[in-house]
Amino acid sequence: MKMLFNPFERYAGIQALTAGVVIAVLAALGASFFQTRFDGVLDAHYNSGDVEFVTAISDQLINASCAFIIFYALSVILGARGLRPIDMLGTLMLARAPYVLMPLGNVGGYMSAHGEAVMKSIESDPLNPDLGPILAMLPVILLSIVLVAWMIALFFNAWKVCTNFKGVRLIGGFIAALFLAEVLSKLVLALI
Amino acid sequence: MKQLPVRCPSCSSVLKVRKLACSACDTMVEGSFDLGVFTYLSPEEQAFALTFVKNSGSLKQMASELKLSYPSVRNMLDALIERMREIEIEIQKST
Repeated sequence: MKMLFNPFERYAGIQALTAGVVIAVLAALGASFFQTRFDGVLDAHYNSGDVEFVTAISDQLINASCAFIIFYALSVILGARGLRPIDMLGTLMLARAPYVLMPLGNVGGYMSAHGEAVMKSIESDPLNPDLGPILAMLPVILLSIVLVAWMIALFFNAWKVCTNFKGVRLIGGFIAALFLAEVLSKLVLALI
Repeated sequence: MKQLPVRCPSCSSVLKVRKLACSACDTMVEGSFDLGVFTYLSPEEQAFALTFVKNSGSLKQMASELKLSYPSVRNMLDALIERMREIEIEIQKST
């Protein structure tokens, strides 16, 4: 159980980075097969149109880079001692493992098709929309929430192990880092 | 091996050595001697310090030997340093 939420006590540095690169490639492959965009450090959206592998791998690169830049910069600003950049980068990339499963929610265009059905239903009868597609989407939405929570828990433990912060620097620093990383990734993706 | 008591069982203050004996000729030496900082560490902390010395202070080697990540070992070392500082202060207060 501990390995699911905090593998970083055993794996960091080059091992975590290698696993993180494999995870990024798998997530990009899944995203391009099942039309998913990881358009932000915390984001995953199902598309109805095709997602090119180049776009999917670019998303992974941008998300990993933004998370690393913000988390590393903040840890230095807050006074982390003896921190190796490779540990921060590797653990953050490994922490994205739960998102490999995210594209599976859109196998065969399941979520995008039901999403479109919901929109059409709302447009045709806003006061009495068809509940069928909404209920069909519910299990995937719930699974997505679990995956997001799992990834945030992994990000937190990566931050904790790499910085050895305690108290306000641990909690406040993590919240700030996550928020800023999300904002930066959204900005970069909007500019490209 | 019997464990050396380092804290008073009554008030938990650090103990001092009052009497030493030569195992060869039974000569007794009395006085008031401080125990070293390492003596006050737990067996786990002492084992960690010993591993650190045996690995020439290489955290990378220690991580490999302990099957832990580099930052985890570094955090354990930071905790040990903090603990030793606390013990030093406690010993200074007791003198």
